[in-house]
Amino acid sequence: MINAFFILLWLELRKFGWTSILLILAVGVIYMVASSIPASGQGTLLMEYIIVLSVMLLVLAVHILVLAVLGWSVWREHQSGRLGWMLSSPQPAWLQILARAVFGAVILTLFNCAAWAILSYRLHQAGVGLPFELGLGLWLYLLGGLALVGPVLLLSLWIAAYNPSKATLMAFVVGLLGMGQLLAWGRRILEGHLYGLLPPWRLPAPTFSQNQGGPASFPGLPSEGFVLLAALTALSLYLAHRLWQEMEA
Amino acid sequence: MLARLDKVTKRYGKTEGVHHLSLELFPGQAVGLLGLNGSGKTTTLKLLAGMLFPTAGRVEVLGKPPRQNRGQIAYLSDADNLYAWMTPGDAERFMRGLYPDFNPQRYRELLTFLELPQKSYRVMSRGQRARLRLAMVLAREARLFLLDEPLSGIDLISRDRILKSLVREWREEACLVLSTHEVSEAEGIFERVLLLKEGRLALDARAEDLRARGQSVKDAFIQVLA
Repeated sequence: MINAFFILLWLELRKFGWTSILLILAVGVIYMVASSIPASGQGTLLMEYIIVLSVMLLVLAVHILVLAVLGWSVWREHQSGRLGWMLSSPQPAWLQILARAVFGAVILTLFNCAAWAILSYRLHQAGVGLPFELGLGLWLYLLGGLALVGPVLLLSLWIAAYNPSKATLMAFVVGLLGMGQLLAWGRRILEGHLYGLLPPWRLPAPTFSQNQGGPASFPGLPSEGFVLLAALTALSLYLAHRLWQEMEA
Repeated sequence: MLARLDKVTKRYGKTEGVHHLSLELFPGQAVGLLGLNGSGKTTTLKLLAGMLFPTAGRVEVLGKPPRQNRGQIAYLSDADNLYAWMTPGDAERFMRGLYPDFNPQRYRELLTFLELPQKSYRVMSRGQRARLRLAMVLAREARLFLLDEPLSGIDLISRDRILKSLVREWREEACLVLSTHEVSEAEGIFERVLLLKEGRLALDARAEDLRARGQSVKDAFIQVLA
């Protein structure tokens, strides 16, 4: 089974070879944009803010692109019949889902590591000290990217398995938009009971005002959000595994 | 008995792929699954492979539902469905990882026999692609081989190579079910013929019995389905 897992990872790597070139290019662009952060004492805080924001938007765009490609590839493989080789194999559905999820998470992790290293280095040169554990903490909060990859796999498998109409897809998007409110209600109901038992999770996150000598005002990331993300990710991966079995039949 | 379809019906919405189909497959048989387009050949093979659930009825391979016996079933789809970048070497690595019953030695022999070049699938001819996919499936140590139209749309030489490889790889403990439109060319390897018409079994006969009656498989095909 371990051999099968690594073969599935190798397959993903071969399929997305061209994507890695795009990611390397994206890292190059991030380096160029981050290089325009002026050295210490030579620029304004607003200028630094705009550059950092540009880098963040670029990183966000790359995430959306990578996730879209991951999702599209499942649908494309199903349409072309290539998924048949995996579906007819004796390997369990959960292993095939896990390999795809791990691959997506590793790709995003590598990209984020590179982007974070560049950004924190340039900001350090500009006199803004970003602790390394901030990026690590934020990424761990997203379960190393699994919180992003899981729902994308679920969505793409759902589309591949049921081939929903445009109206169904629109209803699904509307449902997704309403999910935030649902989570807020869930939080309100649960916070007095379950969340109260959770320890607070504080991240050492500095602010720009801290850089100017002010006190650290970042309140930290709430642990209930992390727990909720972990539960939703596990649920999405489980449902993706069930959908894989649906696709088989 | 190796596999069984028991009163199986498969519906796709309002359309019926197969209707109340019952048949049994035994080791050592080479079965020709014949019929016109849309007669239910692919549906039957996919049901046996566990790639489709029946709407009604039961499918068993070695006494279990096909999905619980994947290691015993080798299924070749009719689709041109391999990754474009794959070379025969990549395909070997892929099959070894995913299919524990894959026999690399036999696969390499088949590559030589089928005269397959070490180039990527993308640049192979249609016949070479069909031969590569066939080699990947035939190199498995499965008991039930389900081949969906491996001869369609490819040149005469490739068809000849494929048929010869089927005879060459023949194993007594296995059952081969081959769906094809190339009835005349393939009939020499069939021991049993199943003719499907509109999702129903129109004829189940031994090829030898047909010949004894002075009929070729092609004659029976035309007589039953015309």
